[in-house]
Amino acid sequence: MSVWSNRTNAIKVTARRELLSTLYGLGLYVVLFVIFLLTAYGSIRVSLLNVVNNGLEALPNPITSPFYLTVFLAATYLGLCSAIAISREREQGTLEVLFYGPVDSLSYVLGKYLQQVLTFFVVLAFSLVNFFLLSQLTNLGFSGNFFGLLILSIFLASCMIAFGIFLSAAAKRNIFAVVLFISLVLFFVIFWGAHSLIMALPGKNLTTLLIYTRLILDNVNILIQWISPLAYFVRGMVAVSQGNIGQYLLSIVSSLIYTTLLLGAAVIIFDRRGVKR
Amino acid sequence: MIRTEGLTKRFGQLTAVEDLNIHVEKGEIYGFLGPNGAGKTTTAMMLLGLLKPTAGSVYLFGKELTSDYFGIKRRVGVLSEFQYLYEDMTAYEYLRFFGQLYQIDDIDQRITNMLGLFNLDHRKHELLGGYSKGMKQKLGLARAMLHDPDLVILDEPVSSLDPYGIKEVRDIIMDENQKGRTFFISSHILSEIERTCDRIGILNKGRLVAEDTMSNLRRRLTEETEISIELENPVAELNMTLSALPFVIEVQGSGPDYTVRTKADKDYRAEISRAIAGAGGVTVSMRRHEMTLEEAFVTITEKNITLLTKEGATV
Repeated sequence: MSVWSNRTNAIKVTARRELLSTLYGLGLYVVLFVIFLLTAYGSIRVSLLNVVNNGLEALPNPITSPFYLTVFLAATYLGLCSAIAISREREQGTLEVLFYGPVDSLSYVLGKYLQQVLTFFVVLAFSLVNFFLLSQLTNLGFSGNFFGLLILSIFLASCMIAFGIFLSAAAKRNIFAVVLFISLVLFFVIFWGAHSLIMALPGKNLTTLLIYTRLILDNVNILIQWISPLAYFVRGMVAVSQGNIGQYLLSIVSSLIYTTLLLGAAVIIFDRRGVKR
Repeated sequence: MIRTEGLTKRFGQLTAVEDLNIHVEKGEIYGFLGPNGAGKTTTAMMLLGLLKPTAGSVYLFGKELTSDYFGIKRRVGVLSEFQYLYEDMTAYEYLRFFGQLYQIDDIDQRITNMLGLFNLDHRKHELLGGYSKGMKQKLGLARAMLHDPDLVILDEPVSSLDPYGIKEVRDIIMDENQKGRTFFISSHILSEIERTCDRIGILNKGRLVAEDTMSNLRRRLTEETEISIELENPVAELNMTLSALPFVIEVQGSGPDYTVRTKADKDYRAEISRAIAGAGGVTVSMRRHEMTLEEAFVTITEKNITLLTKEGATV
């Protein structure tokens, strides 16, 4: 039996076990329920505010925006699950037992990745049903770029999961992996918001301090564009809104490269750290 | 089956295992002993490739693990000291999961056999979170032997078991060994090692200090042996007759019961029996007091005696 045939079997078997464990558990459904509630509340609140302020509802993407907020939160949740996947199993000692058998670092990391990606497909299916029903109930339609973004969301999830697995392989303790993941994702989101805000300010009225701040944020942004898992999705979103197919495909390819590099790094770190508690 | 050459592991300043050379033959039950912190688990982890040695090599089935990682892993079964199980699974699901990992043909039949062998079949659909320590240990053993491995590495296989469980596991190990399976057992329960193992390796402070059969270890550790004799009737001047034998050190007793201390280089019971018969006595019983493994273990580890030459051969 070849090495890859052994690896494929290990990936398949470990991913299936984890997937079934996730699907039979309550955690995923509770989180999805909360996300659905939050996005529904958010979209109703925005709609009502529009009506109150302007006397009419004028949203370009009344269904698509909350749908993508849902997908983003779900992808972040799966990234968080990935961040604890390896460190938790190492802490529990079950990782060691797995490695007594025909499982190596690469097959283990890929098994974890595959399981989370498959879980994302389940999340996507639930979200589609939820928003389709919402669309039927409110008579609000999905906008034209919906499917382009739908495909892009799979790559967002892929980047988030790879990012989580990378942190999990590196972290000594479960809690460190969780704190690190949440802190970094929050930092990326806040940075992205701050950068967008400051770049939107008209150049003529800027103070010297703001000009320097803008310069620093812009330079830091160049680095963050490569290390943040969100940046790849944002680039894809911009490409979709501009109808730029080339840029859209480039964002997908770069997401795949990002995923591959992080998973590769996770395997190397995992090999060095070992499986012992 | 197992061969290590100069196997060494250092953690910073601490040397956990130093220049370890062990050799386990096919079909053997090899007992690996050592006090806490001697380096037994570190050695087992290096055998399995879960810890990288600082120096030296490990050969399983004559090959280094890196040359055929999956092939070798498929031929080895392992039970660790502590049972780390997926507690949200049942015993059946747990074994099925590992059966799929090892790609066992006819998994269901094999699982049924293993659960039956370890007397767990009546609880196979219960969650493992509710299992007792002993049941978890037996399930761990069932998992280690599920894929019919050629070599089984067991770390403290009976530590959580009651006397019935210990006997059950001992019998299974002996049975499986009869079928040709090789066992490498690391344990603190010396009486079990003494009963089960063909050869014993003793590790102390990271170094292998003894490796031999139990009888050879005893012989090499003791200079004298005590033999208790019961005669049908007292024999006149038997003390003098026995004391005259060149290998006898001391004779005590005057009635039908005697205690004779002899040199430990060989078993002298036949010679003593002949001497008693020559003096007109009838031997009812004769018992040789042998050093237990516990005594040998304590002697070797406390006095830090090495019974190996520098080249690793037994003295």
